[in-house]
Amino acid sequence: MAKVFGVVFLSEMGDKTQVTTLLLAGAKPLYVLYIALGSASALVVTSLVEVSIGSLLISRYLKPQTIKLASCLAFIVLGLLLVTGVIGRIAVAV
Amino acid sequence: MVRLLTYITTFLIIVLCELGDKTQVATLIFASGNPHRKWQVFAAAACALVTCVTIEVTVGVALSRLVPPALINRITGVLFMLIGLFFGASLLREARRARRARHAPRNAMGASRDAMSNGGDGPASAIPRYRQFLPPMV
Repeated sequence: MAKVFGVVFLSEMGDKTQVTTLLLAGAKPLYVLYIALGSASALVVTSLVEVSIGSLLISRYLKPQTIKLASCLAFIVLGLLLVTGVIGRIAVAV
Repeated sequence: MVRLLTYITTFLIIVLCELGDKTQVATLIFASGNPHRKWQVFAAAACALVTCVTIEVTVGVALSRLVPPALINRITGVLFMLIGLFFGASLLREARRARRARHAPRNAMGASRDAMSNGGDGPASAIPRYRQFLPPMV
């Protein structure tokens, strides 16, 4: 499970979610606690939704081999897209 | 009142940000691969995210000492508009691509009707039995 922690932590590092929370906390430094609570609870709720979808839907209807293959490909593709800057952009020059 | 409003606003903004996020996809992948340990996966992901939040708000508060909050607000507004425009453009592109793919000529089996198709091997040849009655796998 350290794997999960590491991957989620690293993927969140330069993420637009992080920058959003950062800017919100900077804009309202007096209400930092509520920003922190709101952000943390939103992230926990969304990860709950994701874990439910992943464990109940995907693991039921796909073979383990397929899931592993899809995970490999998804991680590779995500990594490529991140490195080339296609996704994960914080600010965009339209 | 302001505190509740800040909480709700932050909650909604982060939920909208996280919906199609790569962090979510990573959690989804881990949960799919380890369905028997889904609560461990959830706990690990939640801990990582809460750690990230504590780092973020610390840096944010420090940032507010350097940059006046009004300027931060304006930067945030511009950033949000750009993110929204970018997201909308990618959604339009996806819709256009999906529409084009839907109108591509297909035969009765759902295969694309072109020179590459080998004429069909029979009703159940390409799909294993347990997949026959489920929607086609992406």
